[in-house]
Amino acid sequence: MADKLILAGKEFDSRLIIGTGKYASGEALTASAKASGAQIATMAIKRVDSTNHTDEIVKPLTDLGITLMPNTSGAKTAKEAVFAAKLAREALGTDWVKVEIHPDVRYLLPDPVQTLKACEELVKDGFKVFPYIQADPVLARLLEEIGCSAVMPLGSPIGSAQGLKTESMLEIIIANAHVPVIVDAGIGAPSDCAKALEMGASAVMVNTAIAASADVVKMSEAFKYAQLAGRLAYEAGLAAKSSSAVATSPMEAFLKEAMK
Amino acid sequence: MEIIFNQSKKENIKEKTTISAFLKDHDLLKEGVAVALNGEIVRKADFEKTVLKDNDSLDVFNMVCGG
Repeated sequence: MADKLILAGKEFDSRLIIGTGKYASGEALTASAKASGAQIATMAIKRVDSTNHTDEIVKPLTDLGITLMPNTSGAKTAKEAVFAAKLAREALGTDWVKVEIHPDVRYLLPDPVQTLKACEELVKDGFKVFPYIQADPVLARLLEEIGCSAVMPLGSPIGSAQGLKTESMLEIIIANAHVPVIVDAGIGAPSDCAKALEMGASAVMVNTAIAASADVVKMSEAFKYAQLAGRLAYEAGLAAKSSSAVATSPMEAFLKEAMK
Repeated sequence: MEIIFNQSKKENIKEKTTISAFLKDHDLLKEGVAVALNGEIVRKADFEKTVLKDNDSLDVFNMVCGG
């Protein structure tokens, strides 16, 4: 069994966090959530749209015992993000919030200045803050210092499935963080999830790689095992890499003696 | 009496309509909903006692799918 994940004082068995976007239906989302074993899910907050009926998502997920992490997606400034966080707190009765501020619509890269500003205010207001950021070790340290509950550096742009393009920066963040590091965005395959956890990330967040899969239940299961494999490997300790071969069997000596 | 609902829709409502009553009429009195009145967030505990006035701007939000 792997160690438990602890986020904002709460314990979890799974190190996979799921996003709830892009699923074909509420039923697909619920089935996927169940199959993945995820215990934390993110969601957004928007003005109600009476012309577009959307499936109920809160109760189906809380019925599975899932902890909800509302995000501030759609916010372009710290002010909007703080407002969205406070609305979500009222809507869900949770003080958890994923601060997500990406005014750039092409790459959806997070705005570091607005993110830091929003996080400062929300931490002071008693929120448990999980900021989505570029894999910037300096920003990660600043966010930790102001009291964020974790940092969520990206692997590659949201929905791009490019994997851990920011690997070298993630290594620096992980090596120096005293809060959990949750690799978020761009995870394209279960192997990316395992890799991030092998590197020492505390958790991984995945949305598109599961939701856009041809078989969301099967892919959810793949990620369930990937997060477990990655964490167990990290706890066991990976073998050191070598630039040359290191034999694992004494074959050469045996053969020479037999041929005399 | 008229209010502005979600920034764009004008709605006629009766005098002394509370936020609770408005939400109930629109099938929005449920889990995962938050409200702002004239730009200020209203606590759920205050929905029953907050009465809407003429020209109020009421924004109702709900949780939706997102990553």
